[in-house]
Amino acid sequence: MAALLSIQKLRTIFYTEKGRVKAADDINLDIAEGKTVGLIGETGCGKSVLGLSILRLLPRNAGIEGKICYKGQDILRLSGEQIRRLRGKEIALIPQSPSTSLNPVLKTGVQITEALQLHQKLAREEAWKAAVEMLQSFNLPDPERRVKEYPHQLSGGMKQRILAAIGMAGKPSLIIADEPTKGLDAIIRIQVVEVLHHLTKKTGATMLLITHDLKVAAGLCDEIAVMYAGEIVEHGPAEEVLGHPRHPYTMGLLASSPNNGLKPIRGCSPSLINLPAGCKFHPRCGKAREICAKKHPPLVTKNGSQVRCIFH
Amino acid sequence: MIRVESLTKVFTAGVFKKRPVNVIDDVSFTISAGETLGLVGESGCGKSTLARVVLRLIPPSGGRIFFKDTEITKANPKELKKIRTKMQIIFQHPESALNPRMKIYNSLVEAMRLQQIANNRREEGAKVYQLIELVGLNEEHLERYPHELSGGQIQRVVLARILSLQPEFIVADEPTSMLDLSVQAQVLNLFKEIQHKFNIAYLFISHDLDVVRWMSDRIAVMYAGRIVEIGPVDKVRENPRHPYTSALVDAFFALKNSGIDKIPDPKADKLPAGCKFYPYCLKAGDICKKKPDLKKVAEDHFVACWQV
Amino acid sequence: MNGAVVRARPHTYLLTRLNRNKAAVIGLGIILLLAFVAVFAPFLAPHHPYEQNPEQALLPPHPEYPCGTDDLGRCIFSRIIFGTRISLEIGIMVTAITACVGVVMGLIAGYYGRLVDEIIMRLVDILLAFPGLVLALAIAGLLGPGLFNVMLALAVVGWMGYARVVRGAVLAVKEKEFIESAKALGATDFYILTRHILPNVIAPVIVMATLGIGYVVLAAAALSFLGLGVQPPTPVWGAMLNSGKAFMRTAPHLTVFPGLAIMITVLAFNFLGDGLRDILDPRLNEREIE
Repeated sequence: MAALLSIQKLRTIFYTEKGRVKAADDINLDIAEGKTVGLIGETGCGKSVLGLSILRLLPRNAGIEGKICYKGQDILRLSGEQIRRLRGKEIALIPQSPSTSLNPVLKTGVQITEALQLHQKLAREEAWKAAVEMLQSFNLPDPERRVKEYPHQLSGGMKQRILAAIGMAGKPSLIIADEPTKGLDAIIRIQVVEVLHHLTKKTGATMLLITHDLKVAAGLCDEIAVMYAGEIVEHGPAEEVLGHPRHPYTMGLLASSPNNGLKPIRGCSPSLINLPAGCKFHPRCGKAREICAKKHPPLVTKNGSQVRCIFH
Repeated sequence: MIRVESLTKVFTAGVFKKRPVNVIDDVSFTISAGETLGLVGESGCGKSTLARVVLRLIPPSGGRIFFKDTEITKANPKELKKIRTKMQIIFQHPESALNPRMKIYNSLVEAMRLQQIANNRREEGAKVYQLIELVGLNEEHLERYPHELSGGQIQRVVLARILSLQPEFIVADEPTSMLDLSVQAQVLNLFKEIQHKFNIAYLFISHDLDVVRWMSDRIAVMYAGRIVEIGPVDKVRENPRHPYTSALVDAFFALKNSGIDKIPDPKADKLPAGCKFYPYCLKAGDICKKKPDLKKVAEDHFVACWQV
Repeated sequence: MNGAVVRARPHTYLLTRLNRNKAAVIGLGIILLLAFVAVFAPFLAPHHPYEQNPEQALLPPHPEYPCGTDDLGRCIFSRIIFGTRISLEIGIMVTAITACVGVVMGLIAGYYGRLVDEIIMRLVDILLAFPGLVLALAIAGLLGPGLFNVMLALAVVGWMGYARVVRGAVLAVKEKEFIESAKALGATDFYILTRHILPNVIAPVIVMATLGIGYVVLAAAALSFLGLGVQPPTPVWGAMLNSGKAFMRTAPHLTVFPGLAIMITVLAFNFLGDGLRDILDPRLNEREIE
């Protein structure tokens, strides 16, 4: 299947007072149409930067190199006007923290219809009807009432559904969901997972799901890419990566999750300014040898999975 | 070690029409020495308020709290200050857990100075070095400011500081929910290690059932200010008896939605006077309009539900 | 936000950050110069500020009298130099007093809340309902002229702003978990207020105080211009303006130079204050990326 989005040799650097922060380095990632790709990793690994790079929503002190091809055109070469048209209409962002992403002084319905009117050029009444229908399809109980309410009257799960409706207003082909379940309780989390599942499986949309929640990733993704210190260290089908991890970091991450016995990885993630030489994981790796400190391993493809480890 | 009897906390809500809200409603439990009681529930169910009321950081509106047979709900400020060394708390947010303008060393010795534990500066210093070794930090961290440390390191500092008082009971209010997986594992292991070493009792609050299961001996499930189920961790997980508990367990472990879609939020206001879960419960009957009490369903396993 | 956090250490970066803000550096430079002038006034002034010389009255600036002479033949340059002393003295003393009173009031109101808060803040509201300078005028008029009375009058009308700002900051800080931890460790209210809350609310006070010195210098000049300040023959900028206004057409240098002195001083403190505001702003101090 053709890749809807193809990221090639992407490198995002922040220029700060303390030095160059390599937030994403040598990223190669193809997302095939209709697939859900999970991007997992811990705080500071650069996964959110990657998501924002695709939409070119980075602060001014950031520099992007490489290629991000969306439907054949390189996003990084588009003019400001062209990329603005792409956002929302073609590529939608479902942000984290539903509580701060909605405008608190506007009724939820207004916020959805605004997007619908903008992207689909619907008339007001049509847009309201469409908004209610969308919310209904997301299993939001009592949508007619909800569109007349303000964000503070809704629970976190409901707000996330409103956000999803806003994101979907332009009927985008690619959805970037940035930590959609962060900080949500179990019951609300499951509601959000259901909405995302609905979005991708029923409408056939392609999704890049950025998350640190392994359970959510396992439940939603076809493929999973694991990021560590700005690099993709492992990428493959979800069952493979989560079931038979090959990279020591992925193994460590899985073993440290609470349902697998909480076996920690020693040490902590490196600062992106001062990255170790060679394999970036070697100071924390139990299997590291001398060579790991010297040679930076490439991403090697084997049996449909890619792993960045010298012992592969 | 800790005994809580029909604890209640009422806040007033509303700007114009003041109305009382029972944030904690008739909560009772006990924790013995060296035991961990896990407390789960969704945000807004009152678990963080409970954590603070148990330590009397917020005064309760009713009920009694005992620490080793001393009733701390009746203790005067002087007694309270003494008991405080034995009962401590760790909070959720590492970024605000320490005074941003104090170096780590000063934060660490603060507890000892306030409670006059060390006799002189040298003893104090020696103690600090013991403590940081205990929690896996090193000397170079001492001269730093909190924002120069990672979340995991800060929670270690907080733990070290508490340990300087040799507490017997620690309330941990979601201590690792803001941490990354690999760091969470480190910190939780440290918590367990410390517990075994010093025989400390924990009240461990979390919304992550996996974490609670791993940490706790018994588990209490809270909904809208009340404990709806309490029992040994595996019994509650394998055989949840309260409809809310089973919904929670399904949602968490199986990512399965069991008709709980209609639960808007577990905040205590606007909910009925009887069983708070009544409007959302699939099993509800008329009797549920009355308040259910915790009743025994098995050894050590109690449920507040009329339908059990 | 997800990602690496690069933060500047407040103390070590203060000077480098200050250095980058040109206006602030200029302001600081002028203030240091003014302080130098105030301290060494007797050595810098070419003439004694009280020395009258009726034959040489109302002279325009020339090498012996760089700013000319006034109607009594006194050297205006020397009087401005000595005037720096009183201006800075009033500015710093009054600001110190108002800031201290305001900070204490704000801490108490914010920390204890409820009735105490209500009483203090309503008092603040009432005092703020009067135009500051008019109130100071009334007080100074009531007390009579004199250095101490000017300072008192300016102090009474100046503390409310500090109280408000501090109260707001305290409300934000007191909910932080480290305050609760300190309580759990058995700390007293006084300890928490002085050790934990004060250091975390002091930054905006420093900015306000710096800007405040400029304001006080201006207000003191206004009071003495209206004859309610320090009395002649003491060299005060405001009073110099006042006595010069009769000769505004014939000898403008009598008013221009003291006016310039006031303006430069106020401007310098404003520059520095604005610079400090940018530097001490925690949002700029802790710059997060990603």
